[in-house]
Amino acid sequence: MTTAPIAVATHGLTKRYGATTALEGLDLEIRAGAITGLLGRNGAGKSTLLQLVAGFERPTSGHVLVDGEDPFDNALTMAGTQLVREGGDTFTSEPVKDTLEWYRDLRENWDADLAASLVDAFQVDTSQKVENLSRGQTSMVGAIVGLAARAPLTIFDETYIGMDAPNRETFYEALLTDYAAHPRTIVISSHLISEVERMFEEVVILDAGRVLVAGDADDVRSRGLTLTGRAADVERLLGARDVLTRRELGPTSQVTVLTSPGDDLPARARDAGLEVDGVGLQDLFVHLTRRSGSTAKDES
Amino acid sequence: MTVPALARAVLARLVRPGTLGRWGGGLLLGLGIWVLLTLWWGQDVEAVGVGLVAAALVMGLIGTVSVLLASDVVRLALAAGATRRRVLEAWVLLALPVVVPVVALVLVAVSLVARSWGGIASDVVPLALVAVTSWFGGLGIVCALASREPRIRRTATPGLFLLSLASVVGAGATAFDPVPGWAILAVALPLTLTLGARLALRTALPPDVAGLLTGASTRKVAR
Repeated sequence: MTTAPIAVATHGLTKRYGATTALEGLDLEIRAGAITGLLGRNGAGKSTLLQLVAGFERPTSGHVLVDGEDPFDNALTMAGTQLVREGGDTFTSEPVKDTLEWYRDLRENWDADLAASLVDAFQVDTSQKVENLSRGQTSMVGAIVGLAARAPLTIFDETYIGMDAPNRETFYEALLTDYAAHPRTIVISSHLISEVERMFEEVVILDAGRVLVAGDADDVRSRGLTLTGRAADVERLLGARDVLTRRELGPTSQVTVLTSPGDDLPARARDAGLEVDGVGLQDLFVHLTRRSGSTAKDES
Repeated sequence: MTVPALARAVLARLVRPGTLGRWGGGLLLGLGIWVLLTLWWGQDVEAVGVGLVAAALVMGLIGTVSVLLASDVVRLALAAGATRRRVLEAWVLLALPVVVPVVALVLVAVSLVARSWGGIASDVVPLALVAVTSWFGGLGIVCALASREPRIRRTATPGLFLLSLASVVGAGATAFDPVPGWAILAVALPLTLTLGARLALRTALPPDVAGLLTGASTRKVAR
């Protein structure tokens, strides 16, 4: 099995469950050897995409390529992919140690020392049956599996759910430390954007089964801009740019706008005496997905 | 991940007091029912038929337990990076040493009893049918449980279980009254074999081959 980080690409990827379309013509690239944040509202298609990448499901149409291969039931790519689903994949009616031993026996790169240190850090009692653990503790078992498996493509799908703040921090620190020592492709699907965005090198924002924004995390962050100033000046500079929100405060206007890479709007806005602020990833996500939701409602 | 590695991991989970206890309990219960019913009916030819039904119960119990175990194992094996095909190969690797000797044992025992009561060697046929049905039914059920499609898990699993049950009951009933027995078999057995084989193929084969059965070949297109 390869230990080199694995890249993922999708082309026109569509997945339908009966009348429900989970993914619609998705074109996407996930860079090898980077931490990618997969963001999206509930039902955006994140889990479906990750299950397709992990080789658990077949697309309805289009392709998903993991390391250049179709991952469905592919021994090579599945051996190199660890998907940690919400709630973890554990033997629920048996002690935690049974689940850890299972993955130890089947994962070629399993790091038993790392698993043991994480068990200590999370203070998980491995003699307890998984079904007797709290939701947060079950999530910790999933986090331990995901990190200790050290798969070239590691995917965490809302893994931290139920964990308290100190344990989430422990997880983030462990992930970054291990990633630095053993670079690999990591995908983190998350709702807690403000908490995890510092880890992202790449970002993909999904909405209603489509990609809204994808790219380098800093580039994506820099694409959101808030301009505040005289309404006439603001309007003059906006041009045909994509306005996400608009707020009027008497003669003053505050507009959040989506810019393209290399756009000279910030410099021109400052020259015009406008106040220019960046938009955090979470705010950008909220603006984009809220606007997308209302557009969809309008269309229907 | 190799098939032997997966088989070893599964075996490590099976060879434990709790699991063996369940298997042993099911086996003893089935055999106990068989013995009691045989004694109750006395040395009558019909006892052979009862024995067949009891044998089917034993197989059913073993099959049910192994399916329940396998379903959990299948889910976790996929999560640990195994393909459906590897899981199936490992399951076959493990099931063969268990299922085949048990079927052979039941076959020999009932044949001996039947012979001592007048040589009803033809009853070997229903037993063989029970064995085949258990095998294909069990295989199909495991594959259905392994499916990621809820529709298949919800409909094919209980459907196949009922078909398998009908087949073994039909096989057993042929010893009592051939007409209804073979009638049940004529309907249930082909359906069990067809559905079991189809699910097994759909689950076990790589997409480019399975695509011939289930639609477009994703791997072929991807390359």
